[in-house]
Amino acid sequence: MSDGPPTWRRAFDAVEKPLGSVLQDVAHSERFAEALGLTTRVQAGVRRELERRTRRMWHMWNLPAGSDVAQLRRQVAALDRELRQVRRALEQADRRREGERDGPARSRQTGRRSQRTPRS
Amino acid sequence: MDLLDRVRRDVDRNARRARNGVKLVAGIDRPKLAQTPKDVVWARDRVELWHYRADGPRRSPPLLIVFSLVSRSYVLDLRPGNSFIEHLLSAGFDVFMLDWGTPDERDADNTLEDYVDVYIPAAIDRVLDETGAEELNLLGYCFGGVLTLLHAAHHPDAPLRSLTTMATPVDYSDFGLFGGLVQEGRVEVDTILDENGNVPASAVRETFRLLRPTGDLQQYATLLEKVWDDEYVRAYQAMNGWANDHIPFPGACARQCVDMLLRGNGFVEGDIRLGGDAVSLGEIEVPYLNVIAERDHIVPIQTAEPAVGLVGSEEKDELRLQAGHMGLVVGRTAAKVTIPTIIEFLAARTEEAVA
Repeated sequence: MSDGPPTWRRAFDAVEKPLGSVLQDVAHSERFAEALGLTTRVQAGVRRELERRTRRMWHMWNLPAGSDVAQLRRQVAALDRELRQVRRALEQADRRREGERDGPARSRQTGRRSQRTPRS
Repeated sequence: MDLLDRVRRDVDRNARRARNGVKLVAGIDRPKLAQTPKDVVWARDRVELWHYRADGPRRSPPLLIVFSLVSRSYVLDLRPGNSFIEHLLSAGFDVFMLDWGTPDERDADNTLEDYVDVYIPAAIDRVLDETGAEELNLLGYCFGGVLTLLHAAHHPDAPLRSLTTMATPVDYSDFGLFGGLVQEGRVEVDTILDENGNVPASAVRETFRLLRPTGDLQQYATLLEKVWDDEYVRAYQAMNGWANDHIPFPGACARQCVDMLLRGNGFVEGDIRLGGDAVSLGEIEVPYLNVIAERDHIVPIQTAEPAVGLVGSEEKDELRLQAGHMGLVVGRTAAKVTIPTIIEFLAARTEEAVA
């Protein structure tokens, strides 16, 4: 019994190496990229159409569709983002006030060495 | 080896094959990942800043690692004995990691500016507050490298002592599959966004799979061959688990990356704008190290190597290593060659630990 790779593995490698190389060439080809682009566009179109039809069906029964929930989530996310921006602005204002009160030693902007400071 | 020894070995291996096979199929007894103790020292939105615990005095200034936005950062602390973080701690570094968490619909409108101008500066401030240091060493991995480059270029006054990027793409003119897919008229970001407005993790995973179409088959064959080897099986479970554990990519950031980096080749063409400002890598003046993996199939060498030429630092260096994308930080070659070399560069930019 040899300690090298088993026969099945040698057979697998003999097939996989050339096949892998061919598939890799295909995946990197312009045609594949174009086909994938077309597929994603078609998928997105089908998804939109399906969503439109199911939404109409649910709305007929005066019920919310998945897209309504998604829309609400997006609106909540937009509010969350606005809150984040307000919080950041408040923090920056606090920091500026702190810097003015405590002098340059405590100020993040002025108290630390910068990239432009010559190094020893 | 005589016949009896061979029979004994084969019986033993078959028993282990059966045991490991059951473990793999049932998904039980998975290796524990990211075991290095750490504290969350700052958190905002989905982002967390981790400080790894270490005994004894640490080198100064501290090291802040910024990881990629499309995969999980625990690969840098994969498992005990195979952890980049462990090596850094053993070398006496004070290590912090900026982890992006899992983006959801609240992050769909996050742009590069959010990461480069808000989260990274806030994390840097927190590291400095935590350690009392005046500056820090910054290290970015893969897309984290892109973020750190953009941060250093957009904030020339940032308190950085050095910048290191690893497996970081900067020249997108020949970015292989990724470049080909997003050329004008092919895959548009908006057609692949999920209901949250992010590029779904599955799309990220499938795109990586396309880079090596038979990669999974090859891995299964190697696993089947070595399923008797407990250590190999544990390593496979850890690494394969990570490789399939991608996170969604914020939609607005994806659009910006495609337009500015992949289509516009912004770093090379000098055409990057953040928050309305023109950003050039030539603005970076801190000592810089670019670590390139020569066998990297995700970030091919030609996309990573121009970084040194683009960065304005006087003191800059390039380290080319015979490794794959993750082989820079995971595995035996990493432990023997890559990590010690990176540690050497960083150690030269830190002061010895003081008791």
